[in-house]
Amino acid sequence: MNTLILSNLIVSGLGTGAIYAIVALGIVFIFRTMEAVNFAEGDMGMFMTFVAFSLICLKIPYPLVFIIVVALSFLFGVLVEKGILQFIKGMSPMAITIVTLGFVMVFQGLAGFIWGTDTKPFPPLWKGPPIKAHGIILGRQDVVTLITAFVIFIIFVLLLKKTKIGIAVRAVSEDRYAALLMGVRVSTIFAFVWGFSGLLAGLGGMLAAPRFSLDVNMMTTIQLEAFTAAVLGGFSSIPGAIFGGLTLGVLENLISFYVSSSLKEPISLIIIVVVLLVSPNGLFGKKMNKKV
Amino acid sequence: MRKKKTLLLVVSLLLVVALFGTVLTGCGGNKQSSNNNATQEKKPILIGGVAPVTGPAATFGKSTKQGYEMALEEWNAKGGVLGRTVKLIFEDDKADPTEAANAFSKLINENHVVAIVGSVTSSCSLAGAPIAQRNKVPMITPTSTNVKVTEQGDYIFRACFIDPFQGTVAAKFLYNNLKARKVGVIYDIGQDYNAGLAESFKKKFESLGGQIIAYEGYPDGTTDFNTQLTKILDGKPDAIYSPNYYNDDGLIAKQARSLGFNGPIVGGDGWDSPDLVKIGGDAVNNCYFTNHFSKESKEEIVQNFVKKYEDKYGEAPDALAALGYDGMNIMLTAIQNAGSTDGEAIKDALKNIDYQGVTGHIKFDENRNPIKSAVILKIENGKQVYVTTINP
Repeated sequence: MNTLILSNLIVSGLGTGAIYAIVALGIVFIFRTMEAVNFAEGDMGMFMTFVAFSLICLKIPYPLVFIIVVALSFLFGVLVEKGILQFIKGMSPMAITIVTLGFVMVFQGLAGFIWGTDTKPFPPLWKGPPIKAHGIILGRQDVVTLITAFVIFIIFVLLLKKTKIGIAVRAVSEDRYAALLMGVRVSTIFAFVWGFSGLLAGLGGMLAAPRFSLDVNMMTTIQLEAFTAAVLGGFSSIPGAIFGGLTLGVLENLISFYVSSSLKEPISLIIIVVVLLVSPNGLFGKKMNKKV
Repeated sequence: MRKKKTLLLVVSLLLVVALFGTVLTGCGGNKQSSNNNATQEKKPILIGGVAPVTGPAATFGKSTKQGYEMALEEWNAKGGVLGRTVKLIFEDDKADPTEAANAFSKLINENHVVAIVGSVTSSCSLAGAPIAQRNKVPMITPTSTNVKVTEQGDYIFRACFIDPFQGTVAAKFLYNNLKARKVGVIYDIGQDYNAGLAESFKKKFESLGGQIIAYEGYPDGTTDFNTQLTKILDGKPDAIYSPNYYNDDGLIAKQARSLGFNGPIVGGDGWDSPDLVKIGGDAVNNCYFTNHFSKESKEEIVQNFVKKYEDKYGEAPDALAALGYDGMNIMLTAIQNAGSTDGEAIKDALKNIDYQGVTGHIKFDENRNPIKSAVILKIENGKQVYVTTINP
């Protein structure tokens, strides 16, 4: 076994895995507070990446666009919650999950209608030839993705542990009604959670687009992988989502290199099934106490 | 209530009229065909044209159709074929084999065309060919490269070269012109086209004395090619052969460059799309592909065609337009040579044709595939530049 190849595979796997991790984080964040799975997480990101594409076409410099779109993605998430989900809040988490499946079609259809279904070019945040050190090749976009994932993770943890709104979010995820009784404005919290998830989706989309390419279906696979990563990490655990994403990225690379690229997805899924059999709450999951 | 009833009545009336309408026109069609020969002599010769002008291959279909129309107009301006004008009856198959089969049946049974030029995609031509063969209507597909198309019978011809030929050409070009000795191959295992090109390339390149350092397949729908490319780049290749469709090739080029590979990447006619550069950007510089036609060829016949086409449609012709033009011209020349609109006579004339087209000199081999040359194009700053012509 060639160690150089092995380390290169791990490094590029981490680059892809970081994208899975960011999207998985968005899914997990919503699940923790609403117990609903957001199947449209990836496509929210796809939609915002198209918005970024339009802004780039207006000749606005890309780093500025990046910041604007991150902010817009937050607003987009809030809008989805305030504009649509708010009205079905009384429904079960399952109903909300189904609604997000509908969003997939709406976002894909809208994006196709506005921007067309053909593939669009999308610039990387950091251009240039790859960085080489001791034979290990590191794409610049992968470096950006890894750093972003790391920074977001730190911000996320600090936000939840240290800020007032973060504590309120945790209170709502513990027990929505108790939080309500304690004076937490649950509807604001929901909007915030969706906003932050939207932001993560937008980031994920803009980081994925230069590596793959910008089109309506660009996030379909990533959404699935992120969902798998979330399951691997325990579905309600924030470090679990990050760990699950990175592990999955590396795992896929190793399987497709040493076994077969056709078996990449099936084997990843089998590993996850095995993990869940051994530890039903995932690698990082806490035991769930079902509320009565 | 009353309104509803009236509405129902109107709708059913409309339905009845519509039904009878179709029956009536159907009868009209039959009457036309039972006309005697004397009146038919003065009538135009009907040629069926099939191409997907809507659907997933719409840009391919549009170019091809414009090629058909231009060829037809030129013949009519010169006085037509056998002293009669020629008329195109065009059907859109939407790149869907079922639609293609319907289009072929309609052209043959309702319009009674004497010959068919089409369709564009191999799967559609494969759906139409058996129908043409059964009815003994000669057919030429301008662009379907899959070997099986002309195997459907002796009435089926094509104007383009077949898949294995492109792989052979690419191997010769890489070995002789680019002096590559070690090449890695990456291809989609789920597509006949890609796998066919990869296979014939490998065979030829090895027989020339070159070395295939890695032969990497990937499943249909892959967007992350890092592992395949890592394996290929580990063997330090002089070049990469990537005979896929433009979406994949653009991504492969981009990801290969981000892994530090700066050598040439070579592909087939699946690269011929403006989207290749859109997706690949700078990464597709120093890339080459084999194709049917180059508008930059110095040959006079090509330059005349390019000028006329640009004047008429306001855009430069691509390979599909050129093949559509050649396909129609071959068919009309065959009818002229046959001296009759009889299917069998046209078929025999096609077999013996010797035609100089814009996509090369065309003669058919015993399998009704043309023996012709291919061009190599290079991508430089987003533009296709003619490099050389390689003969079979």
